[in-house]
Amino acid sequence: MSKLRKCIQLTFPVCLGYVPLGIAFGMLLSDAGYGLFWSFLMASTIFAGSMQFVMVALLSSSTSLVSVALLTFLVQSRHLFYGLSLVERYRHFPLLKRLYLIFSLTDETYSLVSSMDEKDDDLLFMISLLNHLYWIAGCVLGSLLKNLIPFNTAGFEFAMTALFVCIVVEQYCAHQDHFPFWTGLLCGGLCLVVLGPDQFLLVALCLSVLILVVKNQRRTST
Amino acid sequence: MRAFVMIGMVALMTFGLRAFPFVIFSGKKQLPDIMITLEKQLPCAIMILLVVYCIKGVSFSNASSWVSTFAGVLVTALVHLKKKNVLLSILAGTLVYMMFVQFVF
Repeated sequence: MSKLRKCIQLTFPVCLGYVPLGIAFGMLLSDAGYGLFWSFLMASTIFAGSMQFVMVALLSSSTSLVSVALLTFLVQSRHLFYGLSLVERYRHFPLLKRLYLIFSLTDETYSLVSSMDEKDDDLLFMISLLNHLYWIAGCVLGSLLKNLIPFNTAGFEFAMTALFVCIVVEQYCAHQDHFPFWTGLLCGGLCLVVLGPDQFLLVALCLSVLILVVKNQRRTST
Repeated sequence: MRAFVMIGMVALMTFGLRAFPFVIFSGKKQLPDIMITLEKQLPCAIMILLVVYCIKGVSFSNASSWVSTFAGVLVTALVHLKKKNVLLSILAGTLVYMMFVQFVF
């Protein structure tokens, strides 16, 4: 099973990230009153770290389903762009396998798959599957640990904010053009002040998209 | 029941968003220019918006609230700039935030 070994080597960094993050999620979810079953259900059917963290707060609130749908769209809309570069790569897989590959296309799986040189289909599928298993294992472990060692978790939810801050720092460093960053920050801040915490997100997002589109149209036309 | 519906909906939407490009662009080779530009620029704007969303509850009339939040964000960002290790940065930022929330204020 040298293929499995190679796959484990490739996915090891993801494992290091997923398991602790999953544990954090499982603990947080247990804290909100949803135990092992829910943690397993969400990890296996949603398989999206940031969205699952957002859902911990939503599950125990009275937020309407429409707002939940909207938030899902906002948090997950970056996935709209991941598939673009993989359309060709995934095309020849049998339908069921292809559906699973698309389902399991998380940020981390995407970064592994899109940077992989080999054209090995089994390896590609195993990477997606292993990453999913790491995530489920982490989430389940978190739910179990929460019951074993209860401690004061006040402030623990900041882990999600911290995760987003890390992604922002990485994107900021990876791009020369910081205009999108400032657009998002200013639109977000401005809309938050003007519209308040419950209403601002959608307006801020639309405004940001509009500014980016207009700016790029002007640049290409001049 | 509400939880089941919510999880089902989020799961379906997440899959739908992941599948969207495969459905739309399965035939074409060439993407519209604006999509290519947005593909590069939009994630940046969205992520910083999500950070703003996460800290939207911060209150400037309450020192505990804004000092903890900004200390947490600052430590996370600085540790991440230095070490580039997501886990370490999250741990550092969250610990600082928890210490502020639980012990300082």
